[in-house]
Amino acid sequence: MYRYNQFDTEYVRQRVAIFREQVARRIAGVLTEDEFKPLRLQNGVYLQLHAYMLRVAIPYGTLNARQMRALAMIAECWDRGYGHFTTRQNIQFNWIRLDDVGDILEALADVEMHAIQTSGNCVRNVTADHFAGAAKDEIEDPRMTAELLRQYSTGHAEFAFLPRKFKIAVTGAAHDRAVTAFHDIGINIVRKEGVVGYRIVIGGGLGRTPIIGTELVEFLPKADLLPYLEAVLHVYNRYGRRDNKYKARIKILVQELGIETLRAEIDAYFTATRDAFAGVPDAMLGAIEAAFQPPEMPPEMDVAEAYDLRHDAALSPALAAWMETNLEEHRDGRHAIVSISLKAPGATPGDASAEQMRVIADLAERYAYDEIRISHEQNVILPHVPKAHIAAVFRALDAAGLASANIGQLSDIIACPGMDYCALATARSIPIAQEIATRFTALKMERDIGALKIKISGCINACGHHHVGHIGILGLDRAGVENYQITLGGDGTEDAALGARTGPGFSAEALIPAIETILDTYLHGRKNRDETFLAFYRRVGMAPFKRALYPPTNRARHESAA
Amino acid sequence: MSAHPIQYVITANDFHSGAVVFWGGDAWLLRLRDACVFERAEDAEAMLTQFRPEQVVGAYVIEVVADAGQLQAQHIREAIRARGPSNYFHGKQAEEDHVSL
Ligand code: HEM
Ligand code: SF4
Repeated sequence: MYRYNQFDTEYVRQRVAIFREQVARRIAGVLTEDEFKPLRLQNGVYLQLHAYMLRVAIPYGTLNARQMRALAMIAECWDRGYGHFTTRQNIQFNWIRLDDVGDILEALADVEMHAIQTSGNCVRNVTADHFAGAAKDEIEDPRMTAELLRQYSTGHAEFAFLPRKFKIAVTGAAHDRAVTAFHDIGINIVRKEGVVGYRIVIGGGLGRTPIIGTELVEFLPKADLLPYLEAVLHVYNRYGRRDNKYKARIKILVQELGIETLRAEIDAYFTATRDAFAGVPDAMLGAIEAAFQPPEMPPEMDVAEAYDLRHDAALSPALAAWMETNLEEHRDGRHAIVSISLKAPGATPGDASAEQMRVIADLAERYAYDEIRISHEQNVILPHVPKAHIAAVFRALDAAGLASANIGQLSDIIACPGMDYCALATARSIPIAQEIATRFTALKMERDIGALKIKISGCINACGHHHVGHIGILGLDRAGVENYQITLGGDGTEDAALGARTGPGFSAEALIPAIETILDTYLHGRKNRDETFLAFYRRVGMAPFKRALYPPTNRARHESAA
Repeated sequence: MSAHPIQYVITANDFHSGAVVFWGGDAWLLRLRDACVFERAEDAEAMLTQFRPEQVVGAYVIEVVADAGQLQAQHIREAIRARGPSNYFHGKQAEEDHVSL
């Protein structure tokens, strides 16, 4: 994996020292809170409901065992024994004291990690497909591009105060697992006439104004990536709506200027400045490419080639069930991609205890070439596990409460922290996720339902990606009472779609029965088991769900409640 | 909605720990039940300019009611701040009365 060079190391250490000094000045009363707040935010320190929260970047979701153990140590020493993995491939510690942040950042720097640019109006942690480097359908490892962008955008003086935050996601595969259509910039690595390059999508986003990104460039030569993105950021920096926070994201600029005008502006700047980049990306990319070589796998072995997981499956129904949902085909037939679910029904989605982090670190080191990924779906991935060791990995995960066989299914719910932690929330999301997972797994409906993505956000900022959930749930505040709006049919993949509202929202008590109604409508209406929830919704539309959710007798009551 | 009259309390987060605190009349305290209760919102609001910034962050006024002698936050958000999160037994609900900040 990519190792920090001298520059990275010094930069991160320097930032820790500077922040320690800033905290000291704040404590001494030299800095006011208003002066200090942007400084702490630049270092990932938020003030949440019960404590400070520290958001740590996990660039393109990649960790090694040593880093995972450092996160476990931080959870134990300075938090309450756990960490929360987020939809942006970050980890958040919820119970941090401001006085400890310097020490924590130091501990992170020891393992080449940091919290820089995890907040503020800058280019944020660049995310990538969590199966990067292992996926069968991959053209090129997207992490090379993500790392290039990380190096380019970290501490970039011109782009330290953009009109608003700027999020970039990269995928190198045909199947989009990185939600690229809903980022400020989505980068798809594509091949055209044998040449690898980029398809650039701009102005996607969720939040208050959800928009599917628009294609900006159909094919961008690889060498042009940095000058072209610089042109995008420059134009955004210049024209972005700084006058209105809610209109400041680039998606609004795309809507207001129109893609043609915007493209012309970007192209003009690109053409004028491109030469200044000559040679630079090539040199940078060379070093990066070397860092992302696939792990050295054992030489071809007939025995391994022939390793048949069906033998393992026959020995244990639990293992068989887990393999069915949590394994993905690896590009090397002797290996499999293992998804470790952080969604045990009833648990908090995305949370891992320090102990669990260590179990994952140990397994990665022992069996999986020391590689770990964090997915935007709040799960952990071991991207390269020899098939011969799948059973052993399963047993170790099971012993640590990490063997939930539910990837991509009903209880694999994305949920943001919501009102239990988040200062911006309008309703809770964690208890809703817990209740849905517990209730429907108890009813043993999960396997029958099959592929289903439920996503929950505790406010319109949509950190829980509710707009792209097959079932999306948005928690709102109606006169001090939690109320939940349901959307159906969202999709964050290459077939991007925004969910449509079912109608008036539901109280916390009425929400679970409403979800049950939705699931029943699907189960009774689907053609057969192969028709997924999403396919069913696309075929029949909203009408049958509406009828079932708001029967005429109840309609009056619902409408008055809305 | 409760039949009890709405009263007012000042809350903030402790500067060092981020912990939820309530204005107790001459110090910041950890428990809602120890908070100084104002009958009129204006009186509570008027206090907000008096606090030393190096102690707490973001002081503001919340609505409470005294139900059977127990002070309760009116809004769910404030109830969660006063108690702790729902998913773990962490925060105030898990702490002894004499926790240090
Ligand atoms: C890809 C083809 C591979 C095959 C067919 C294979 C097969 C085996 C077999 C037959 C054993 C002895 C039986 C046992 O103790 O379970 C073993 C042991 C082991 N292998 Fe592999 N292996 C492969 C790759 C790897 C890789 C790439 C790693 C590490 C990254 C690894 C790590 C281990 C370890 C740690 C043991 C000790 C067994 C234990 O105590 O769990 N193996 N392997
Ligand atoms: S969606 Fe809202 S409640 Fe949830 S984490 Fe984001 S800002 Fe907080």
